[in-house]
Amino acid sequence: MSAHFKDIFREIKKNFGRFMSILLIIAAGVGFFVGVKATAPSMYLTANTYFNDQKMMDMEILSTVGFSDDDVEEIKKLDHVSRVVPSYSVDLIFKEGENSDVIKVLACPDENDGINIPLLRSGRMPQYHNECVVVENDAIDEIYEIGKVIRFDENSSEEELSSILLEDTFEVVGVVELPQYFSYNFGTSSIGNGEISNVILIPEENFEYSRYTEMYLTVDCAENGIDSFSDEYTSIVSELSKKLESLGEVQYKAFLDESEQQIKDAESEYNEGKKDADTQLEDAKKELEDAKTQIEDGYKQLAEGKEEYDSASKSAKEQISSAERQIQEGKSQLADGETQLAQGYADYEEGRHEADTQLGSARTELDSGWSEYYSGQAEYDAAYDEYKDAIQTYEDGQREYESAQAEYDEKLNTFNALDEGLSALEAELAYFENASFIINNEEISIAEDALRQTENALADAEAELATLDPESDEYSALLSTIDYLNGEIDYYSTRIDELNQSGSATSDDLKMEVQRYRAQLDESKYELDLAEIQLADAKIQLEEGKAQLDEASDDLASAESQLQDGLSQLESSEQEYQVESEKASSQLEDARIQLEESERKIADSRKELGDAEVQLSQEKTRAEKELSEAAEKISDSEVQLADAEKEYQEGIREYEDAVAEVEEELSSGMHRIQNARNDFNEIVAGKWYVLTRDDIVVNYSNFKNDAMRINAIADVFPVFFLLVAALVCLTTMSRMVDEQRTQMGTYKALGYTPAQIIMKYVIYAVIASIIGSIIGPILCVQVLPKVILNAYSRLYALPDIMLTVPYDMYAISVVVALACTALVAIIACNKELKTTTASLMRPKSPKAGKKIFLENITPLWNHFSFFQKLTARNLLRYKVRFFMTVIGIAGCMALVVAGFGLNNAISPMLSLQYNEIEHDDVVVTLDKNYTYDEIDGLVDCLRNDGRIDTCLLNYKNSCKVYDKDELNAMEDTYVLVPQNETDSSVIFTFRDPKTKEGLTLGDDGAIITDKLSRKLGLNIGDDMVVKIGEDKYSMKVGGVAENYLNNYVYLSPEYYEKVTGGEIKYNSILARESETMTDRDRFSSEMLSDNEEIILIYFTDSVKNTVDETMKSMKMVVVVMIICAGILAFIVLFNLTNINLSERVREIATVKVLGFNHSETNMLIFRENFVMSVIGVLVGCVLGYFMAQYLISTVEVNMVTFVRDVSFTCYLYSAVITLGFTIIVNLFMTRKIRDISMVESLKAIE
Amino acid sequence: MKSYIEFENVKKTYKMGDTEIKAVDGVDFNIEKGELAVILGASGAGKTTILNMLGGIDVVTSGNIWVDGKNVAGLKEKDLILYRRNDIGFVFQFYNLIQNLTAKENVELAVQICANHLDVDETIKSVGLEARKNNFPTQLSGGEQQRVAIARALAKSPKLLLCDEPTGALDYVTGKMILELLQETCINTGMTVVIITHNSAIAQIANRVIRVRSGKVESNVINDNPMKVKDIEW
Repeated sequence: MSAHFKDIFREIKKNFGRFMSILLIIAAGVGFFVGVKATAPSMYLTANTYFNDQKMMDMEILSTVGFSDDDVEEIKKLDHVSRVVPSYSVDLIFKEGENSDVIKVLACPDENDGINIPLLRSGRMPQYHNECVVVENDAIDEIYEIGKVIRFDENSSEEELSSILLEDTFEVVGVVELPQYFSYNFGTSSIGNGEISNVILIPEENFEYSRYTEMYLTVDCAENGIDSFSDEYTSIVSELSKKLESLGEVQYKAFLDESEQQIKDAESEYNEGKKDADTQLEDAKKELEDAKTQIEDGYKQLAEGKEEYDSASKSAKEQISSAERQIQEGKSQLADGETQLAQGYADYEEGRHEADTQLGSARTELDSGWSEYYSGQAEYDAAYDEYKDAIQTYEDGQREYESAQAEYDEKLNTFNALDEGLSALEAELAYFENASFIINNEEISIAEDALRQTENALADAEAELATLDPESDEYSALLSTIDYLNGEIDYYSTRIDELNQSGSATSDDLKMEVQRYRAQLDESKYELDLAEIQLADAKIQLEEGKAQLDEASDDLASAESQLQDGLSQLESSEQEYQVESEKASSQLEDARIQLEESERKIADSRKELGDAEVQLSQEKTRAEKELSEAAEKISDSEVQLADAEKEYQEGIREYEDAVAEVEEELSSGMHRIQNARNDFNEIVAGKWYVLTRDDIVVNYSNFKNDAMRINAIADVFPVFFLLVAALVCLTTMSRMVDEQRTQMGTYKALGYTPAQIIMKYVIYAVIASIIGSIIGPILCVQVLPKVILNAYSRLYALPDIMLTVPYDMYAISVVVALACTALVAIIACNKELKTTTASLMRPKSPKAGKKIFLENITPLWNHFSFFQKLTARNLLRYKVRFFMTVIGIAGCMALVVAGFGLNNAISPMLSLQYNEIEHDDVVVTLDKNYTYDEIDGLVDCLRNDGRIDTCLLNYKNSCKVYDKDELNAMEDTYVLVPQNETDSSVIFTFRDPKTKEGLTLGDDGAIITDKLSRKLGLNIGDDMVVKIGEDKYSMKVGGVAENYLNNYVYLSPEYYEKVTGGEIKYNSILARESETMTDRDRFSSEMLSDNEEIILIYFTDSVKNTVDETMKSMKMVVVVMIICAGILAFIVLFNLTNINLSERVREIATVKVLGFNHSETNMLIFRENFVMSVIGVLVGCVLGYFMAQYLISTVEVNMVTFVRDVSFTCYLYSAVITLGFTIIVNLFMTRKIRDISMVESLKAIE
Repeated sequence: MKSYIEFENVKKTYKMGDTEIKAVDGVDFNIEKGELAVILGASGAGKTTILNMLGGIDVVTSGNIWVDGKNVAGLKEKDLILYRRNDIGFVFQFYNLIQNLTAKENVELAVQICANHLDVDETIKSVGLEARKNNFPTQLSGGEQQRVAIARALAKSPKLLLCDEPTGALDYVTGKMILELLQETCINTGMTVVIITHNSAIAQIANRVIRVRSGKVESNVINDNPMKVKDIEW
């Protein structure tokens, strides 16, 4: 890459902000321009594609007399005609509850060969005669939902409903879109309330019309790729429609000739027919008379035959009846016998039953006796067993007792032995005791005597002793004698004791033995006593057992005897039973035999009777046969006669019918011929009506207008936008070249050619412009048409938008962008390069400071502060910069003002219309078939209704207004004739649009609304032509009134009648509701049901809402404009401020060195910016006003009138936005200012 | 006791991408009050950077700059603005007059923000431009423009008058006249004047000559006998 190119890219990098600002401005300008410009073509393309896809008709031909296949063939021969499809349609009324809707009924087109192919939205297409699809509406009433049934009112049309349609009831099976109703509006009708509520499609076979009611036609434009919104299309269509009209005249004439010929043919046919009929009738009459005589003869013969038959029949009947009587008697006897027999059988049955019952009960009793007996025996057996056991027990007891007795006896023996032993022992003892006692006592008494002697001897010896000398021998001798004596005493005492003792010891042994015996005896005695007691007990028990045993034995004996008694009793009962049983059965047998016999007898007699009956019946049959044969003969002849008579009668009737028929036919033929003549006279003046899409498709022209309107906005708004952008680019580029002066000099000095030097700036500009031109449209073409068209989606049912880029416009905008950048770069560079290289190298001499004009106004100038003076000088020093900035800001301001102005024009419209101009709340549409008096009654009734404040009877009809020369026309207009002045002044405010002065409806002119006046150039006193229906009337303009919604021609009744020459027929009531109106639905339904004159009641709120929606779509567009303008304003301001700043870097650095602080430095710059912004805003206000005016008049729809005044708030908002952006941009800039280095001030001037 | 102006190891480095350029690399010098000091050096020696730092329009990287007992290097931005506003008069090589203001108005511009200023007319008179005070810069010669610039600086009655190559854009004669004006101002008002130049001839008029080379002070010489401007030639 050459250094030159490097320099270019470094340049971009170095000053990226500037590069980007050029790029963005170009992007915004080109993008917005192309985006808005693409909207209308995209709308056309979308619509066109949709229409072509659905094969929408280009033209429709209507005629008062319909069309034939011949007409179709003739049309096909014309140039440019692609296809012709004849079809049918009819407007009918569908009454459902309070609703009385006008429905347009169309024939469902063939999917392949048809025209106006419906696009199925939901459900399915009709398959049967009584099915239909409805056309999608913005709000489909629920009575048209799928599955609902539409039944047409019998009185929908003047013709019989059945002569129009095969069916009168249709089920809704689907919802479709029809291209010709893409605006959700179905147009008007001549019946009902005049407004078509819905369109339905039904199978074509349903139409009973003999001729087609309309023809759809396509031209070969779509095939040849001619846009249906193009001029070429329009010219082809208008040319063709002229041809069609002239063809229509030919065909119509042919039709008329044919009709006339038909009438004439019919007349001659009628005359011939009449003659034939007369002769035929004469012949018939003669034939009938002959027949009559023949029939009379026949009747006479028949009467004779009948008499004969009657007598024969009588005798036969008598015989038969007597035989029958006899049989009857026999039968009754037999019946008696049978009854008796039956009775006998019944008795027998009864007897048998009784016997059975008795025997049964006896048997039962017997059986119970037996069972009782058996149970008794069983009981006895048990008792007996028990008794046996008891005996066993007793015997055991006895045995035990005996053993106890033996034991006792043994014990008694022992005791007795012991007792004997004892008494022997006792005796021994007594003896022994006696004997030992005596011995002892003797020995003791010896011993004692011896003792006493000794003791005496001792006592003497002691006494002597006492006398003797104790030492004398004698004394010792005596002492020894005493001792001896003492010894002796001791011996004797011991001997006594021993003796005593031995005596007692023997007695003790014995005693002990006795004692032992005694104890044994006691023991034995005890045992014995015990045994005795036991024995006694046993004995008692034994005796008890014995007693019981005896008792049991007695019981047993009695039971046995009882049993025995029972048995014998039972046996005798059994025998008795047997006897009874046998007796009963033998009695029954006898009775049965007797019965059987009587039965046999009865059977015999029955047989006899049967035989008799058979005989009788045979006789009877024979007799009857004979009789019937006779009768048949009679009846045959009767039938023959009757037939003949009937034939005759029929003949007469036929004859009479024929006469009547002939007469009727003749008269109806006559009538038909008459009617045909009348009809013919009526249609003689008819013709073909050739309609184009503008006429056929409701709002087709509105759509075109809307698209055109957007294009009109695109012609102003984005162009201006682009211009502002271009201007800013221009400034930026020229500034850049200015800045780079020295560099350019350097390059030039280095020997680069001017072209090479310029190339740098051109490339720089081209890169920025091209990138901007690519980015901008890419974004905007995607967004803007969609946003705008989306705003219209509530008005038009179109498929998704198909984008188309207007490349010519794109090219233009890119060229403008390039011109403002590259071209400006070339021009600016050239200018610089023309000077000498040396002077280029030198810094450009600064622009001289000079006195400005303000300084001449000394008082003012002196009044300025220093900085104000500086600002003023600075502003005026760089005039180019000043104007560029002011224009840039003014441009943005103007765009914003225009946006707000447009918004302002739309917003208050409705409230103005309904708060200040029109004051009706309720609109009542009247049936035109009622007389003035009837309607007057209704008006009174409404006036007396508390819910209605004021009501105004009026005549309202749509019309078309032309200027005097019928050059310009205004559609969507209404003629309105209020009945009286008083109510009219309450409902309407007629006032001058400017002065707001009130206007009154005079009898020598109409008041027209301001839009009409403006569009057609009609002023007070001018003539105009008003077309009501098919009639045109010339009128004078008497006044122009302020109005915003729809266009009106107001007339006084007198003037109306004067102009039209006819009597006025009021068809509507406008009313204002009072405060007591709370339930509007109730009011409507009450009014509709009570007053047959009322066709329709609606509230103006609904109209308001519709218009509101439309205006909202418009507002959306405006919002887009405002936003875009805001964005542009921001970019422009940023760029301009940026340029301003970069030019003054040195100055800023210098004042910083001088010690200016930040805010002082900032203010130095911003003061100027602000002044420029304010001036820009002011200029923008003026510019914006005109732009807004232009936009408003371009964008306005026929139907509405926008508010012309751009209100103060629009300017205020715009100014706030623009100045707000200025402040924001300046705030961005403070940082840049802060970043400027003071060192810059030291640099040489470049 | 510090001198009236004293640089203490002042450094200034610029970062240019990865490389670091030492514009001023540890400078120490002093200037006394009332002196006419000339900072002499070749292009790129760093003299302008020194002047910028002294004038408070550039900040030091390190070191201290004492001016009348105040460390300029440590001042915050706000104080720096006040310092420039009240203590410094700056004379640029290219005069830097506001083109859209007359001579008088250019002087007024400086005075507008300065509280303790001299009379504008007097000042203009003092620089000998009384007759041309209502002329715009483009209507004045280079010398006259520089006089206006000097008047603008003097009108603020600053402590220091800093002149960045005041004669750089002027011819010999005019340059001498300007130098004369500066010398007179110094002598008559006792204002401290610092002149930056690459012209060593001019050094002769100074009380003090500071030579700078490659960002360092080469010498700081006091000239006891400064020559009159008219006596010097170059």
